[in-house]
Amino acid sequence: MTQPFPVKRRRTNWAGIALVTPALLMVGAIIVLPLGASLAASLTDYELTSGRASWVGLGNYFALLVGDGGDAGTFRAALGHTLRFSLASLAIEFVLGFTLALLLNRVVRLSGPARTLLVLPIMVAPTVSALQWRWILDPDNGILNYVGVRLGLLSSPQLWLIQPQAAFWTLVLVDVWQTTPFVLLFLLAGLQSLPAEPYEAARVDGASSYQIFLRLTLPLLRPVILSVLLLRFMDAFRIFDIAYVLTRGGPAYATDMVSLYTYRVGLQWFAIGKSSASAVLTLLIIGACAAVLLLGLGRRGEETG
Amino acid sequence: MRSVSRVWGVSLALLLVLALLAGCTAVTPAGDTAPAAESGAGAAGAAAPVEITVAAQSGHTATNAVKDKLAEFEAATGIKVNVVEIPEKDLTQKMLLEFSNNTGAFDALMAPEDAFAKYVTNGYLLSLKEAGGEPADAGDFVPRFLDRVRYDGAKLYQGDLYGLPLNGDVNVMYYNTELFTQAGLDPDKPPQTWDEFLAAAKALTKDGVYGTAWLGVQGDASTWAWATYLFSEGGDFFDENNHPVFNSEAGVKALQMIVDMIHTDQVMPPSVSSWDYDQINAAFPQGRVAMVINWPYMLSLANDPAQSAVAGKVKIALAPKGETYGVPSGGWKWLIAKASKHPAEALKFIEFATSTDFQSYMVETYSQLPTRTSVYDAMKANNPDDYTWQVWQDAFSQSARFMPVQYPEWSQISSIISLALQQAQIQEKTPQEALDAAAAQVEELMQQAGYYSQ
Repeated sequence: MTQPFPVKRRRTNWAGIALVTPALLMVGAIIVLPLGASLAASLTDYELTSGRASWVGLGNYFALLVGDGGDAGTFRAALGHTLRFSLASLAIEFVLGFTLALLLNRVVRLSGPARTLLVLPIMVAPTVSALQWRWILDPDNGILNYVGVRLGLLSSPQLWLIQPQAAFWTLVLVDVWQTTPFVLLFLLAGLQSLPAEPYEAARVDGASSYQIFLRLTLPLLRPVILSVLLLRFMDAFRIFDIAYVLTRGGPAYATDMVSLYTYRVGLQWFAIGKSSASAVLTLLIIGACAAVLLLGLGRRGEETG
Repeated sequence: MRSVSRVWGVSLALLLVLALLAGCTAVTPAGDTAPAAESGAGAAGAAAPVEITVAAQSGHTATNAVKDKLAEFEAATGIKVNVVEIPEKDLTQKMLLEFSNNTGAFDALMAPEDAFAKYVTNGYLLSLKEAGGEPADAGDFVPRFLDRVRYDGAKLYQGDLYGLPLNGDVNVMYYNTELFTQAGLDPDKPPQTWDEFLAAAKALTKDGVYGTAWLGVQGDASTWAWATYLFSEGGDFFDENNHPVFNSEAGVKALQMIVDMIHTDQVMPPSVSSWDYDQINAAFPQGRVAMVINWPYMLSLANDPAQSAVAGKVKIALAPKGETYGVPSGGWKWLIAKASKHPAEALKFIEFATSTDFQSYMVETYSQLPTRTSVYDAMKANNPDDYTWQVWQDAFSQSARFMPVQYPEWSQISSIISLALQQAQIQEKTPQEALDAAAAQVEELMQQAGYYSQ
């Protein structure tokens, strides 16, 4: 009847709890409390001007999603732009970043200096890079128009941030410039951590490079790819600094984003209730996208494990 | 076991997502109570001098003038003044947070034209009577400035004083005399009507120089700038029953004029629909734009050799006349917070910061426009050759109008109008379509706010 090993009793580990408590309190103070306050404010018509607030239930959410319609300057219009922006920049950054990562993974000789150069843009603060881009894109004095016209690539100076479509794609371009290196680094780290054995086996079996990439690299890299897509999507969806500095959401709110909308309603119109609702909706949308991606990540783990 | 750990994994990851997002969602009025502790310290010791905390806009020349002269005030009164500088974009928001949480962190504050109504109608300000009495020489202030800090408990701009006017602000036209001469125009005869203005702009537009420009950017700046065109065509933003009327014939004409100057006459830079103060402040002093309509700071900026390539070549005149003269005007104010623990000292401070001596210094050093009749008279008497004093006085007496900042909804109204200005400038809509849509939106907003039932 005696067991070979003593059964480990579940005991309360007070020392552990004591060590974790400060961190939990901190998290509670800086994350849970403000989040709860935003949630509470989003159910009221709290106005900073008067300081008064009364309960409106889901009224703010209804106004944002239905009541205000989808014209320029509304939450729905901003949401559409934000989704379009996130998906467009994500797609371009991923293709570019992946291509560069594969190249750098292959070419060993120059990869050190090349990596350093390619990674430089992430070192620049987004506001600073947006300001630099504003100078580069300036229609009258910007270097892009100057060089473009001199080299004959542009027939005349272009108004990069004045035409709605051009302004939108300019924001995408700046975001791609700024964050492709992040995707590149992430995927390169993933590539370099892949095991060598399956590749040797595949080559022995006579698989082509194309087959190896499709059947081996992509599946093995899947968790890394999903993680980088998730991180970049959340980041792109929260775009504020680049858009604020370059376009302020203009022209005519053609590049209005949910973060700019939240800022405008809350901190310029002082309608804190409505702006909190907008922030909570943003959170829910990102949370939902994250959950979908993470479930995909989990399923993969089950297959191999 | 595996599924449990996956649930944990997912929830942990979600928590991470929340953590990343907390920064952008945390719009709560809970933060920023630090200054409260500071101001409380002044009241601690009985023997210690009274310390007051004053909110001022960072970078404003009036703030610089206060800092220059603070030692004199502290020596004369024994009151210690703690000046907290706050960027323009955050000033009103910060004050509203302090006021609605009743922190008492600030005793006196600088406020722009459109903030006074927000503060006083919500009971956040102390009247000068409550603080210790209205100044004996209040009659020296120009009535049009002084009335802008009055409130009788129901109506704005009449009744008791809730502060003192810091400076006068009005739009006039600035023009580059050198470019005028080069274009064959007489720099002593600036355009007086919009027709003359357009003709001059056409003559001035050449060799990379544009005749004129305006604050076309999406935002409050363009609504204020458009007011010059709207008012001078005989239009207005609202009628006396709070209905929007800026889509009137005059409004459409005013916006069409701008659209034509960009696209048809091409006397404005093609990128002007993105121009904010930054762009105007660079282009005019660089001599790339020959005429602009702007606030008084432009004259000292453009005539300062350290910041301007056209110093000494800039003159001012009344903004052009259409059906009538009309430009937006306003002015900063010094106010006393209701929650102030030292109202008497705060009153002394704002009296000092609007005194004749102080204003004379502010005018001579920083080219601000005074709010006291005595200072205007002294400036004219001491500088008989300076024609600008006459222009400023004419601008106030003939042109100056007020913006509808008495509505608490003004920021939102301005943002709606600014969108219409953008849509017309990039030719997404005609001026009529854009303004009609904006007026309908403002009408709905005013109705929701309870100004009228239908």
